[in-house]
Amino acid sequence: MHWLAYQLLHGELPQLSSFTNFHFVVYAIPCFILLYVLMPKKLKRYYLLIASYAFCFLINGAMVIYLLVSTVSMFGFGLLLDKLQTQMKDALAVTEKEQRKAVKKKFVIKQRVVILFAILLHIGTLVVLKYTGFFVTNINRAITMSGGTNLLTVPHFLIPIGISFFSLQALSYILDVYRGITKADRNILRLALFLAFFPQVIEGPISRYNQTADQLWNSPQVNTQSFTFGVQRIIFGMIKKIVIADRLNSFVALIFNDYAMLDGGTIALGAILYTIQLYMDFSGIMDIGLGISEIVGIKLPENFERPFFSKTISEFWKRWHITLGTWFRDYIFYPVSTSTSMKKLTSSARKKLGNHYGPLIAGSIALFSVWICNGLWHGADWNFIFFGMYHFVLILLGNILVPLVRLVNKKLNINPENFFYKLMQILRTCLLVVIGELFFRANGLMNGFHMFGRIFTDFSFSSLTSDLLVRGGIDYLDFIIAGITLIGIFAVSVLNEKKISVRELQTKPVKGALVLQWSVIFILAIFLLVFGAYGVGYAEVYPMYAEF
Amino acid sequence: MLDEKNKNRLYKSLVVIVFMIVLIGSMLLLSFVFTPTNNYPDAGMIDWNVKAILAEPQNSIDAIFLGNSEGYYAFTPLKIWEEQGITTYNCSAKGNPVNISESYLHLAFEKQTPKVVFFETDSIYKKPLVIWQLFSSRVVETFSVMSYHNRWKDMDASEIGKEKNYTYQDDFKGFFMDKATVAADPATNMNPTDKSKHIFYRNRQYIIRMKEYCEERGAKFVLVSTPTTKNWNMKKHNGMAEFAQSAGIEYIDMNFMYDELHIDWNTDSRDGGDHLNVVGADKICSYLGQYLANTGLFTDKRTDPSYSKWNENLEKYNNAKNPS
Repeated sequence: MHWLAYQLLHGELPQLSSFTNFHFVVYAIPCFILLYVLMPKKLKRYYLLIASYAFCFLINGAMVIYLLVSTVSMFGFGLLLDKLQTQMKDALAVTEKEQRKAVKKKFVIKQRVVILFAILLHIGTLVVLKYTGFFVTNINRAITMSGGTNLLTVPHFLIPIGISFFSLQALSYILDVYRGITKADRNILRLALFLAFFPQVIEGPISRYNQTADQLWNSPQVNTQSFTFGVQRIIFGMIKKIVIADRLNSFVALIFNDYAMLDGGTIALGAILYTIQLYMDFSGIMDIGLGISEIVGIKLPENFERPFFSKTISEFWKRWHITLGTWFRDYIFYPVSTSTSMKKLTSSARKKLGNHYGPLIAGSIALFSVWICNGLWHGADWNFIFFGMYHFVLILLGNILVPLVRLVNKKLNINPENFFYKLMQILRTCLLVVIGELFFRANGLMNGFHMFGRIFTDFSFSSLTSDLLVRGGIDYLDFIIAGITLIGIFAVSVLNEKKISVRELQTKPVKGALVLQWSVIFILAIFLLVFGAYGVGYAEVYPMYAEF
Repeated sequence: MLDEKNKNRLYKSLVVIVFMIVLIGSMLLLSFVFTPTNNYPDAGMIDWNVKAILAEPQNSIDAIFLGNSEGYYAFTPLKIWEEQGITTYNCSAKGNPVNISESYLHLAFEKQTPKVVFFETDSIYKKPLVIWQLFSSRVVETFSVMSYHNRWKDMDASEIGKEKNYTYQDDFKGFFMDKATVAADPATNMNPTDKSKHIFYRNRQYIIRMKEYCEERGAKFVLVSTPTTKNWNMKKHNGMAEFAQSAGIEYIDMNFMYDELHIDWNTDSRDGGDHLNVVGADKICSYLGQYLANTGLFTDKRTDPSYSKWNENLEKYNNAKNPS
């Protein structure tokens, strides 16, 4: 143990970069699963908790303290709310009917104060760590513009990986206790496991207490079916991430960094490739996380549902980063749109503007709140705020134009269920998404506008030379293999979209289903081994959403 | 007799076991297919400059150099040959962690019996590989398809199945000649301080193990810090000097010898003081050649006909340095 003590003292313990890390995949996941299988049923929950904290420690080092503080605070706030709710019930039981409203109000105010502190702690920490630099930079900009010279020092905080995800998860628990959706948990270890479960800690999904806490605490046994399909899903996710996303990474980075030297066609290609990269990266990591969970029998909520089959932007956001969307829906959109003042606004607007446009005003205010938060959640920069506002405007326009579109379709005798009509809708949505991602990825908002402008003012592919490909560390064979892989993923998505489960297809044969399932794993594994963009010549690409 | 439940279990276990066997077998087969059959740079061999030592005639190398990019750009064996007639080989590679250098030390000793082994110290301060990284490097060694999988793009089908034969000799003996010149800021890296930088435990262990390995084979192990204004400083020197003393290893810090070596930071670096270029490399290798000669362990082989190839290489070296 001498060497371990020495290394602890000198901070020599290894740091993990992510669970797509080659070593983690080759050793940590198999070891984790093996120990989980061997662990006695009663100890599995503690094992999951220890493994999750070990993972978080290796990812974040001492910053794992943030996770610990979040856990303790959600435990404390939950109990406090529970106590207040019990006191309220007791008080109401002994209060005269006419005084109940006043008593209830008193306790509701107390609970809201608790909620306020919880929000201040969780969101406040997030704001301080993520946005202080952004605010100070903009204050300095204003000082410079007004001729001032005394600029403030821009602080740079170390931000623990996953804080944007686990903060929302912790807050959802406290708000659910407040709303009576869930009971306050008196077991801090169960809460700790709910918050720290490692497959979800880097990039989500942002689970709700009612979805996962009990599952995790009951720690089911591993069964063959979930094990097999879990392994399949992990490899499928790794193919998305390592064969496609990581392969495109350096070329996309080159286009966004050197766009000033490039023509519009190449920039447009860069925006399309970035959108593909982001989807493959994020959904690939989700597949790996959900695959690991599935192996140990835990069902985490899905975060993607084939978003590029969406016919509108609104539908896109119901299929992309689903758990973030539902979080904003449940904890921002609904509270804002159903608040007393909004209800009043809706009822008066309905009288003047009718049943479609009347509720739209309050809905749009709530929608604005959601999208400003969504933009800011992704990062502290103007292009993220623009990204949020861009989607707000698109969704708002979609809502406003619904009656007009219906009317035009009726007048022109267009059937909205027609295949080509739907295809056009899908392509339009994809185009709008790609434009949004261009601004999202751009190095600053102004660069985003310059890039977007260039697509229209200088559209050609003359800068897409072999020299550019070499500088971007890519060649035509890379595009071919990425394209073939995308076609494979697209085929699976089409089947799923048609409600044909690839998994069910594999369980159909009466004899040899297991052999078929492991043959699929074998083919996927060999494909990944040979065509993955890893090892010599490739830098490991950190999961993209982990940085948000 | 097995009941239905146990039969089912056995069947499932068999499927997984057969899967593992087929997967491992396939990986080994693919490793055989993907590993280059020769060590030509174009064949895609990783660190081909180091592996080319296997193509050198048996027991023909007097001394070797190990390290990362600092050594890769700094140790030029042909300069030592030119001035002393001593044969050396540079087994440094860019980004090499200490443990990989250790495996290259073993590789060098496969066919050679060098009498002196120089180790460039920069990598000793780099974070050592973590335990699963070490396991992984073993796995990658076994399943070399993981290193060479990207050769699917330009593999020649006729290569498949051929015997591996490392016949390619590197003309510059592992050294990378970089003629670029980017002036460095005046060196202030060796300003005095009593502080010393901590050396990672595992890196200490690797170095001590390498020293013992060399001593067991009758070779002297020497630590060398090559001149760099960006990667070396007094704190690192102090830490290294303390470690070298405690481990009983000779240590040469060339960062105290800029005047003696005639290092000119306007002309001798390829990248503003980070690494040396060929001009700087020649200067420090003049010193190291003299050091080797002073040991009295080596004879001058410049007139030995069996080493005539070295003179041809020297001509190529000087032509490459100063093309007419």
